[in-house]
Amino acid sequence: MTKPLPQGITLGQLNAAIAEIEKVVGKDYVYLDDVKELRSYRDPYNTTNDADFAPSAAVAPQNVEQIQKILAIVNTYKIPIWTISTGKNFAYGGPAPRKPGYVVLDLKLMNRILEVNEKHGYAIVEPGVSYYDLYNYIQEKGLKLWIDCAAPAWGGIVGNTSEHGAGYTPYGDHLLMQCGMQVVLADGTVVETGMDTTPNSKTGGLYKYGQGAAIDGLFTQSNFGVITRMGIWLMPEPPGYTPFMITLENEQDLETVTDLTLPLRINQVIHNAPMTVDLLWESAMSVSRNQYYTGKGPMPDSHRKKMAKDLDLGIWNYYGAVYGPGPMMKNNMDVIRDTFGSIPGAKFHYDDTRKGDPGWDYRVKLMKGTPNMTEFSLLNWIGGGGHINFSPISAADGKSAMRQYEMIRKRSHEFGFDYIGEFLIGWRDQHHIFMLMFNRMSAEEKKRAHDLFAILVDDAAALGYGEYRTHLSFMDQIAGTFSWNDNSLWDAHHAIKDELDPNGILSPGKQGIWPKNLRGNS
Amino acid sequence: MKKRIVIALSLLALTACDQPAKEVEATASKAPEPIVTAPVIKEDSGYVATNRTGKVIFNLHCAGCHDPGNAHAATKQLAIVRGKDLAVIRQRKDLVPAYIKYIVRDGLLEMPPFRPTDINTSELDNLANYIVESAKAYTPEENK
Repeated sequence: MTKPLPQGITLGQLNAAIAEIEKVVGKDYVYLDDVKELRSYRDPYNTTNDADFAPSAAVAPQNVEQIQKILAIVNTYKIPIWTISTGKNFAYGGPAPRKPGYVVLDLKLMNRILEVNEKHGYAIVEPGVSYYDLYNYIQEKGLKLWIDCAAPAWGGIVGNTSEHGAGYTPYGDHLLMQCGMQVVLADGTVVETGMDTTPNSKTGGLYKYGQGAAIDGLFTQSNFGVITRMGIWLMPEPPGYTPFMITLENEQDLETVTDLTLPLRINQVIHNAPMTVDLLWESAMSVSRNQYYTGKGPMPDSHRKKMAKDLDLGIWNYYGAVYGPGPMMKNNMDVIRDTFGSIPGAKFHYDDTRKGDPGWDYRVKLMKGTPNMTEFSLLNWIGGGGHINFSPISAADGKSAMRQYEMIRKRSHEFGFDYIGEFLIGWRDQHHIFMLMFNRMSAEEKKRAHDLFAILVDDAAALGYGEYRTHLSFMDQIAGTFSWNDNSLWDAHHAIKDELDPNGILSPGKQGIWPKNLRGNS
Repeated sequence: MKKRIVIALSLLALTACDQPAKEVEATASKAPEPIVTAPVIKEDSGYVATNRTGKVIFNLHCAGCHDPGNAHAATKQLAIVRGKDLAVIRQRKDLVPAYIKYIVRDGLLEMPPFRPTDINTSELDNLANYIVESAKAYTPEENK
């Protein structure tokens, strides 16, 4: 196999840089073998080819000083590196770099939990700490704190928060709950944000903004620095927790349930981010597609209805929870029951009747921050695991949700794929996740999925919707839809990029942000 | 812009990665000591590779999908495509270490690959042996 090389870099230059990096981290932490080591840095679920995202090497520093030395070396050779933390960003590219030949800067070995403060409810962690790691630590210590994990939960706090990920407890807006970070800039300078900028700081985990510009967000979904530490707020374990599910019989109920949710959500009657989950997503937790339908194209309605009946599911399945003392939860649940009970056919479900159903059980876990991997069952739907997420933001508004759902469903059916999706109501918005599942053993089907995705980006943009996160393959296209005022936002990104990283070494192309030497080539 | 950043940064002490996090005033006694979850970092001699047991690695990286029961994606899928006798990998007597190690690094269908920073070479040996030994020790219900 020919070693993939970064654009404009020779094998000799790469080898010289690698030899210097080996002196910094040790040979054991530089991974060069394409078969035994580097294949584990690929995104196995991509819609094109593994070679499009094949790194030339991966290096695993163990501390900030090593990162500084590595940055000095790659600055000298002008070799691009691609930073990952736990590397589980599947559906969006996993650990793989944007272009072939980049050197992956794998921060997984920096995995210390530096502090957990029970009284004030926060943790300070390094990039390699996974949700399982933090959860296990809190359990072992018996601390009365919850985490808010992604689903699946093998990802990590720094990576998920940096990607603007969402969770399912009241602390589900992860970047909102981030407080302070340490970043290494391309020139090796280490920056602490927020209150930890003061000498002998005692409030770094408590107050987000410090003095002057709050720059934490600059280092998320970007390539302006390497985050090496992050503070994250943790929810105190509440005295009570009541999860609930409402099954809804009709497609149009998405409109009603969304409109009914908004006032309850922004007034905090429902404490977490409620989810409206489609039938197929929910069914995939228990069954596979070919148990109900072996034909081609999207599953017909008749088969969907049978599956819904068998599994006691709705066409939409709505999850939420309330937390707190018993009387408070009772009051809130009374309002919730009165509100949603007005939808014809709406049926409430609780632990007493639903326990043991994997779909219910994993949502109950997620809404209390218990890490699990059940959602990976989605990959069984057609088997083989190929998937990519199309993730536009919708208003938390019934008509808007329906418009987006109908647009995506129509297109996915047109291209022969099932619509599998969920809406997660944050505060005033909804993350709409369309899970595009495809057979990754079929080149034709991969291409069809790829083409569908590209059209969805344009369709959504035409309706006024943009995406909150995306796969490597579509970062440029989606960046191009955030184009108001002649692309002034991305011009600003590029101005910052050129100033902070003049050699263009940090994750070139991340979210469509390219250094000047590579702009126009992507 | 750069100049201003550099001036601002000159006021900061570079924080060594292995320093404990700064203490918060209101913390009951003192900030908890740094907790090492996997690799052990020694201040004097640098990084020392971990050698976590197969059981620890299995619980951290594999159990979420491969434990018995219908909440576990891989177990469910294996039951469908290979039959229930081959669904739970810690009960399978047909797996050999070399095969397990290859699949962990390379992935298989729904399963993504695991990197050497997730599971290092010696830990991968431990994991493969743990799965094989668990399977040897397993007796199906009907034989008990």
